[in-house]
Amino acid sequence: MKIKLNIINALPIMLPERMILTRLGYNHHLTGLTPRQKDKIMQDMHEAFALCRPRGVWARMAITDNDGETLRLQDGTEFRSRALCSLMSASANIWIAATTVGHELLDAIAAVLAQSDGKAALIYDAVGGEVADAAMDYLQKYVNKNLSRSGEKLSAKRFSPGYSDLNLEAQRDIFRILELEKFGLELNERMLILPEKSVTALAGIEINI
Amino acid sequence: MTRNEFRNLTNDRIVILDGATGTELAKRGMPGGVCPELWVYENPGVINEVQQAYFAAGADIVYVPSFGGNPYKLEEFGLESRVFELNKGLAEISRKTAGNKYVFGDIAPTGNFIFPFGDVPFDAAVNAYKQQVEGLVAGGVDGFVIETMMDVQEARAALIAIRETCDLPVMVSMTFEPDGRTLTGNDPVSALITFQSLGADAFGCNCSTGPRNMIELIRSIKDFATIPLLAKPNAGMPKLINGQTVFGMGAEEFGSYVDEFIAAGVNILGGCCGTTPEHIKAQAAAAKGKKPIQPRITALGAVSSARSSRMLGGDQHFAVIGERINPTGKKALQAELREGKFNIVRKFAQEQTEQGAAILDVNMGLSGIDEKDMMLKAIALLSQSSDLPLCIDSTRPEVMEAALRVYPGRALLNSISAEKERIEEMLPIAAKYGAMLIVLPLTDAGIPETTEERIEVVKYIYGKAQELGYHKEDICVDGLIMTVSSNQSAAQVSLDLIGWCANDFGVNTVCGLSNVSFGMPQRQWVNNTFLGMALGRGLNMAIANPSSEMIMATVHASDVLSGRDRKMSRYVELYAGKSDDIAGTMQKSDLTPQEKVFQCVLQGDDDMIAAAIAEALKSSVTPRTLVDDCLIPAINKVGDLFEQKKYFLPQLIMSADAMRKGFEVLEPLLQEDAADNVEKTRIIIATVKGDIHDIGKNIVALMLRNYGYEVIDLGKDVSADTILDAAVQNEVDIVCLSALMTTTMVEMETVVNLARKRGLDHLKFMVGGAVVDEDYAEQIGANYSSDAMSAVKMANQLSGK
Repeated sequence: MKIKLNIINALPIMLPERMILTRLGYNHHLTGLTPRQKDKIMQDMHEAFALCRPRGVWARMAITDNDGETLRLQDGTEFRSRALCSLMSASANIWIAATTVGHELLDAIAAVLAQSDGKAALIYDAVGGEVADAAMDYLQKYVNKNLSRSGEKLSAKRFSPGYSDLNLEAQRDIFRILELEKFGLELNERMLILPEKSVTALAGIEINI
Repeated sequence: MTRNEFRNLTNDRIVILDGATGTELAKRGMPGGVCPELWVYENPGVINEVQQAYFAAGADIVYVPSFGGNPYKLEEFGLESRVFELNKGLAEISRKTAGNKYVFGDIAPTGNFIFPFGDVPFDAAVNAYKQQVEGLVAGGVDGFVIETMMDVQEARAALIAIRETCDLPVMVSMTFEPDGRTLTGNDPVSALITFQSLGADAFGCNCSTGPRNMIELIRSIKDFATIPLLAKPNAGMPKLINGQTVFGMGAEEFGSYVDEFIAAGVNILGGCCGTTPEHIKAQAAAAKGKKPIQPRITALGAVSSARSSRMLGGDQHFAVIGERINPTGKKALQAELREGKFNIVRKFAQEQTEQGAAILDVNMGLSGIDEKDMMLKAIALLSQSSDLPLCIDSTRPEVMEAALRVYPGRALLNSISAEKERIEEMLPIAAKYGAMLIVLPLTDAGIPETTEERIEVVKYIYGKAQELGYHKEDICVDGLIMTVSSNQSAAQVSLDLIGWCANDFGVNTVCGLSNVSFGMPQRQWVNNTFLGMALGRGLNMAIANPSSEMIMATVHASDVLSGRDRKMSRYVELYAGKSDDIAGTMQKSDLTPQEKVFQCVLQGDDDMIAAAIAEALKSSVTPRTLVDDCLIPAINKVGDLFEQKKYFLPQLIMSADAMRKGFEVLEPLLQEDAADNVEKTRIIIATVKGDIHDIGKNIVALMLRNYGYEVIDLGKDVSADTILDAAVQNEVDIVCLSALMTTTMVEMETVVNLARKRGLDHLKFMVGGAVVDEDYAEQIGANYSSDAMSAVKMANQLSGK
């Protein structure tokens, strides 16, 4: 049976300003900015945010077996990870998701770097990273909201390839299941998803009645 | 039940709805994991019991248990072929229980995202909902509720499906989070504007929050509502107890909020998650005999997008409708649109938003393109990339209809004239989707010459619009400005029409500014003067280019002078301190020329440093002094501030940029002195093979360059051989390697080992990246840097600077 993919083309993310500043090393108690510095930094942040196209895709699949070492899914996919199996111990289904901010921001980072504007490149990069994370947070919250109507919920934690003992190779399965190439993403030989500001995640779907 | 009967019911008293259904069914034996609609259909006695309990508690209306009865949800249980049957059956069961009370068909989310926010075509969603609606109508429902909606576009699809099927009353209820927006970012006022113009009979909220938050929400939208408001709160905020979600508010406390709800303006009350017949009983008892506050207005001049709204007319700020997304006369935009591209559209949207436009006009009329297709694509793009409401600008009815159907808000339509086609075809379409109208006083015979004739045309069009339910608040009359270069009285006719509309007829007015000056030299003076004159007559909207500072300043100033900018807050915010820029401050300051150079680096002011250095040189400070006593001490202080966390990385880079720009000015002067003509140290930098993360590497490269190093940047995903070949070829001694991932950092060791193998023992390696630490660096025989500043220090140390 074909896996149903749920796609959101425009995730309604607000600019995660505080998170971006923190990512850049801003210390909310110590760091001080002149009005000009603040204006310039905020301008870069808003420019970068305007270039983000946060999109998301997710699928729900049945877990057919969880022996504590390997998680097997309805289509035969296997994830070998004790940590993941433990996370999924109360789940009959798994939630598989990916978010990306798209290509435009990455192109813009290259363009500002070519003009030796390192500050802008750094801020654009931080905006991309935080927006991709915020997009995944949003997706998780949105799906949780929908699941709650049917007495289900997502596991409190989410997992990604490369975490704990889940090999990065799992990225290949996620890529295939979510058909991420149709989403404009690529997977390189090191199992990294391109464009860079893209996030994948796994979570368990648990009963909540 | 007719829509009038529904309205009368809400006029008379607080209408009481039911409470939670799912938990009541579960209490009575519905197992988890089943399709609730099918289970209820097969166990009708259970819902009968639940609904009877709610009616006995005082409910006037109960919902048919059809929450998940749309084709998308039923498909999850393989029941998509039984949509009509199940919905009809559930409605019949409920209708039988209701007696002389009411049952409303329950329409809820599909679980999919609809165009333009998702990949489900808008009409596919409308058609899916229609299947459900047809079943519920056949089963005898008295009305509908579209509830627990998180996305305004999905709720629009449901409302259109109902309106295209029957004329029963419809309540639309969204789920707003504690932050006041839905999970998709829709705000309550914009959603209210969208749905009341699209034909909803009541609007409100359910789920997500308890009574306290909902009272505030109802209060915040009451002044904008032309229809009754509903609230169906949860029994308090959910708490997680032993891994289970629990709603703890008891029935008595739940009922205690009713008076506040009524005072806030609610007309219809019920309960959502965690509520029981006891909660509804307490609510009904508290509401008994109390009169609701009727909607305070009958019409509202306002447009909305999915995430924002704009009130028009009255004491609202003057509204500039950004005119730039229109290919007429724009060769670059025309070329892009012919190639199916939208980069310039996106750029224009962003720029006009920043420049203060209130609404974006969208016109895709261009020969050689499919206008309808491009209009839909433009709406999709703009709905995602801009929060501003749109003005749909087309002369073709099919384009206009397609656009209004999918636009996720209440649009402004540009325009309706007295031409036969526009009146007969376009006006009913506009009315169906509740669009606001720009009324153009022209007829099939052309543009009337006199003001009196134009007034008659305006009255005629308004009369026709009124027949379709429009009010004066819903229209804006276009002053229809002709060029004064061919007829000098043209401006006066338009001004008189604007004056009559604003002061006698009582409608909003709008005009396109640029026509008036066509064929004239220095058009901006004519345009702006005309704007000033029209403002004096009462003009409150203009289709204009917001990049014109003169126009925007005139508009902002007029808002102050007319009292629309209350307490002048926007004007002050926009213009106060405009002249107090850094340049001004520094010129006025008492700093010496050398101190100014120092401050430029310290504050990262790369705009001013060249001027500051020029001033210093003019006052006979030598280039060497500027380097030794200003630039270097300043950047060292920046480094100290960075280490103390008083500066963060962007500030460090800004300062380094300012210093580099200072050096660029001074370098030719320094080189005149042979002693200063020292060759730069060369460094190679690369992100190792397999890794595509290069921002850290790029920042280090930039900082090293700013500190006077010649940096050869080999890029990312670079093999060990390439790095070492480059090192040999360029005769460098220092190689910087970067990696972000644990899986790729091992490549650093490969590079170092290969260098040893190739006998390149003179090479010194610097390594860094998120997962790299001092221990790892030491283990592979490299030097660790934690950030860009420490990389500079390390490079200084390794090169003996």
